[in-house]
Amino acid sequence: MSYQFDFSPLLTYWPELAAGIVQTLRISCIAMVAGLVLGIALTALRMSPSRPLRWLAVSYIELVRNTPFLVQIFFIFFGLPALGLRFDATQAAVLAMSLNCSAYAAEIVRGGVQAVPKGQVEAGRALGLGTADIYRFIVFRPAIRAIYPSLCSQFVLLMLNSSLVAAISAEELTYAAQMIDNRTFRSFEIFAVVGLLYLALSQCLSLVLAAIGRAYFSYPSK
Amino acid sequence: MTTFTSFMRRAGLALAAGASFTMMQAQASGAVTPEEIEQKGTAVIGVQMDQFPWGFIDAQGENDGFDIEIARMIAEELGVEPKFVRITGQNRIPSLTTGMVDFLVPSMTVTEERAKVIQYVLPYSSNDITVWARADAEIAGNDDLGGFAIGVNRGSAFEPILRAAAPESTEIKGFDDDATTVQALLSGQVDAIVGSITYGLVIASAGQGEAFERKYKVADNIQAMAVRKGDQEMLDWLNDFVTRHGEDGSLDALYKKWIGLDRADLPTEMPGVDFTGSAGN
Repeated sequence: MSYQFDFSPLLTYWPELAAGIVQTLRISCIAMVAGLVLGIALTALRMSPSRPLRWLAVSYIELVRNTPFLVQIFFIFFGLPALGLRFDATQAAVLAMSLNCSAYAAEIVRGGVQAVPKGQVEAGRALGLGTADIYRFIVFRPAIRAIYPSLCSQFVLLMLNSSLVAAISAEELTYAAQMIDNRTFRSFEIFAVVGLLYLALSQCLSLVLAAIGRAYFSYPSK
Repeated sequence: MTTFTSFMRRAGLALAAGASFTMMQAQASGAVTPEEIEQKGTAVIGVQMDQFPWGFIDAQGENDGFDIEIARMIAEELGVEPKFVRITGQNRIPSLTTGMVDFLVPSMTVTEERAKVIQYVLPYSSNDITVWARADAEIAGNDDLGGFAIGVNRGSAFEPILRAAAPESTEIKGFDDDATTVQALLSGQVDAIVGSITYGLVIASAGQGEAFERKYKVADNIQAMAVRKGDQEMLDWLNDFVTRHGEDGSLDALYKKWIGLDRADLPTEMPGVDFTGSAGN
């Protein structure tokens, strides 16, 4: 064994790593919120009475879920400019992540909505609640509560997948790692540390999401 | 409390994973000599497979290019079969240092920083580091770069050279490899890119030779093969190979064939780089 471990370059370049962590969290959080909102909208379309709308939602979901994420990123960054739509690397990254997340979120949310017993909706109607209130209190909130754990793991996956946007020069954690690697060639040290950083980020994200879940979904036993 | 223990359990797993990763690296093979390669019957050579015309995959799915012909010559003289392993800007140095390949025929720029980690053989080719840009971009020298977004292959030697040459205000965008760097220029995501003179061949083959042009040469780019530090016999063998075929004109002929230009006179000494293997082992 001739390989000598040397972690000192990581000390020199910690500001780059720190900036990378911040950017990874920033684009991931925006994509989570945007992806969930879009995903709920897609679910509504998918369960709407109109056949063309349902067809549109299903096509979109299937398209996104059956193509590689990297191809989607390249399409948005390199392909759309040919159609006159130009996004910079960070915008393209957030857009790709949001769109990707929305398709998965839509499938998860649909599962939750379908799990709400019809009888409860009818009970709400019998109690004189309007359609909006039925959806808000009887369908939506219990649905999200039911699928919240799956949604959380999808969000963690989204954050880990954000490492792919380094390919289009979005300056997140993996991009920072590759830049440091190119200057110091201490690949094992850098990627071992970056791997642990992603692990720590995932764990923190899981804890935060679990806390949010407890705050919002602990009814009626609050 | 459950959350805490579950967190500790997960942290323990992570540490175990990290430890086995380290041990995997520890088993990576060490030195290799020409004799050992002859005994094995194959030379495992790291080459590029996405860098026309240096090393690429041709329409028949075969490795071809300037580096590939040279790598085949080396294997032939060793009396073995070449086994090509794909290298990229990011993985080529780790591929060598961890023993995944016996040596590199990479068209890789010689830099002082890299020479601290790997052992360069005497240079065998060169390549002007060139600014390619939209034809209408007014770029004539390093000072003009400040007003533009410039793309560069971030695993390449071009990136630090660009950073040193360009003014502070320059917006520098790093991409995974040469292909995506050129694509960023063609799709208008950047105004200019810094890299190899041979990017021009790629731009022309994309049918975009009119819209983009060569602006100026940033620096010389001296390229060399590389072995692991301490592989003295392999180094001596390859140094002899480069010297002999430099003198008999076969490297000149290959360069003319693939790059379309005359091979420049190459240095045998560079500041901060030791080609003899006598220092720093």
